[in-house]
Amino acid sequence: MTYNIDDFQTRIAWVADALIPSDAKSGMPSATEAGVPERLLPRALKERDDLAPSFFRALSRLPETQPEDPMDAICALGADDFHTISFLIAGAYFLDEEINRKLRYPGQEALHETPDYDEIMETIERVQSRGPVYVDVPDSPESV
Amino acid sequence: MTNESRPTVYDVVIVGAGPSGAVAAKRLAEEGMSVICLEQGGYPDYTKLRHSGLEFELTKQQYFAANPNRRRAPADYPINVSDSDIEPLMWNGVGGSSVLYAAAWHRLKPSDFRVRTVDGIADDWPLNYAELEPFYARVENDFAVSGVGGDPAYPPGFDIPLPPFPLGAMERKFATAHDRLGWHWWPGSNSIATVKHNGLLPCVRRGACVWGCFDGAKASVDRTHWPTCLKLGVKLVQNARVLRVETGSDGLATGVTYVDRETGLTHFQPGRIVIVSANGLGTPRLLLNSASNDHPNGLANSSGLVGKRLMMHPYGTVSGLFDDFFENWQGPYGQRAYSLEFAETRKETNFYRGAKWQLMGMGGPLASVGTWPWGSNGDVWGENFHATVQKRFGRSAYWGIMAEDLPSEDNMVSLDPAVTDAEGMSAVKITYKASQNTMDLLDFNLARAAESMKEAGAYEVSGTPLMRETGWHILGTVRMGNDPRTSVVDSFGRSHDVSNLFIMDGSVMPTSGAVNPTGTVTALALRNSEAIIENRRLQPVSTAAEALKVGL
Repeated sequence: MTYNIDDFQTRIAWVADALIPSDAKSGMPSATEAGVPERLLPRALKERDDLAPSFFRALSRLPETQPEDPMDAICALGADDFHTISFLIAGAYFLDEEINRKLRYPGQEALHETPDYDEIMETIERVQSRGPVYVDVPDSPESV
Repeated sequence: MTNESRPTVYDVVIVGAGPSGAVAAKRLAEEGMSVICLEQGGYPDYTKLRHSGLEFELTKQQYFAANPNRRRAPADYPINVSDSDIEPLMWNGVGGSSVLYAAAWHRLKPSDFRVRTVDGIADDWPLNYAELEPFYARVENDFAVSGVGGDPAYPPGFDIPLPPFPLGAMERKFATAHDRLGWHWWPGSNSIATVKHNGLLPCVRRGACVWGCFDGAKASVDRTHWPTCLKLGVKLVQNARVLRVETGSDGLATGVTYVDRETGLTHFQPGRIVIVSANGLGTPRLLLNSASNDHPNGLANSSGLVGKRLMMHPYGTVSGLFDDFFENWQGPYGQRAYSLEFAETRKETNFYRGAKWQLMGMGGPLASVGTWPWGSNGDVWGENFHATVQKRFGRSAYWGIMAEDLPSEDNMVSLDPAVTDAEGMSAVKITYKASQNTMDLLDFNLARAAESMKEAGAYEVSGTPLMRETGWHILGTVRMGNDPRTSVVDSFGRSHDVSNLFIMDGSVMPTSGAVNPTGTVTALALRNSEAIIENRRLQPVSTAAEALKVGL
């Protein structure tokens, strides 16, 4: 069965904000404020097209409009569906560059660093000075 | 349907293009032996990994998922885990599980070869540390092991061929903490190149080690060994599901029967020697599936031990939260440092043997709301979401606790005839329960690791014992030993029952040790290969009518 994300926008909005609300203390936006439903989630679903069918199937089991306790409703889907929905919503949220800038996450960078060998040697010499930490053993009768 | 054309006879038929199969293929081909390797999968497609963009975390588990029951790639086979505390992880393709391993590299300690002698439990190995040491050194060069030599957790002589990674803020916290505690700690040793070496490029620390290393720095054998093997003339047949090792009326192996997964055709590949390197699940699966009138309980199974004594290194985690922000998401993912302080049996504890601790990367923001290494993530959503991310991302560390697993015949791999793979071969079922010794060992080590976390400055510590999807190391199911009544293969991997059948993978290990086994498994494969070369003139080969018919 083929699903159209536009048919789920109302559900996606309340589900996404139930999982990721805004936070005034840290200045982090909610999922909808960050653009999850219309901008980021389509990217996430394109990347993880393997999860898209189960994502939409799970969403279709939720009410169209936000229930009184939205987290309870999402949890009631069961562990597998909850995981699929929360993983894709959070995964979409963290595709946003501004969110990552606020978190100080530059992505998995290519680093070209030279070790400080003096520091490493000083560090391991302290460990070596404490002596061996293995048990030396005799050969057993079964040894060839 | 069977293809009737007469195939070329090879000196050696190898089943499995993973680390052991690759080490054996390369060494035997160097000596001029003709070698063919049948591999059920193909080469990994590293372009499937979005390693450098913000999509990395979202996509890393898609193509390169470690759990075959989740991945369900065409080369995978079903594994019934309903009666197992731990789920096995693997990669079925050229490179084997070295494509996905974290590349933490170790040797076993001398006592690991002498568990019966030292502790009065389990078994001694039919060889010792000194006998394996020269082979360890050779594979460590081939596998581009980087780190720092001189670790006092090993006898003198464990030199590391490539230079180490830099120490980061995370490593420094634990180095000074363990100085204060008086506990062992050592910079991580990894089969990851830090300088250009053996076809590998220097690691740039993107932390994608366990999801396929796009940058070409991790020593997976599709990169380190197979290019050389092919130049030496080894024939590598991809997408070949081996169904059976065949034997002649003289009891010796004549070759293997396999299905070409792309054409669906069944072929017989004759060989003078057969080496099975299909991992601790795939190898007993193949031997059990090779049952015949002459071998009703499976091939090479007169001891009844094929599939028994499964060990999987039960694994727990201890995570800590810190006030300061430090880089904890870059690589190497698998082992930035380790401790073997509690790896030996201690008089004051209520269990035998011990554990390795490895200080590992934490991942990016998406990982901070996942289950690894945090355990349940049920309470991180909604109003807790941002606080959780703020607390964990860039402000956390964890010790992975790898417990030595002791052998038990109750823990086993068996055929699951009710389920077959796409080629009609019986699937496997795992029966595995962590022992009380394991649970006590994990409890003790989690408590000590929590002390380490607090000493390093963590203001909050949490632990998760016995995580389920952690069966990277599948060991013990085709045990080696000197006595054919109590072991399947001898100390050189040769079957006691079928003298031209060799097993080379982690299934031969009589005990597990507490460390990542690839170093030991590949050192054994190299040692066994040298023995095959040395004895090749005396090697029995089938002369049965069936063998003569196919040109052996």
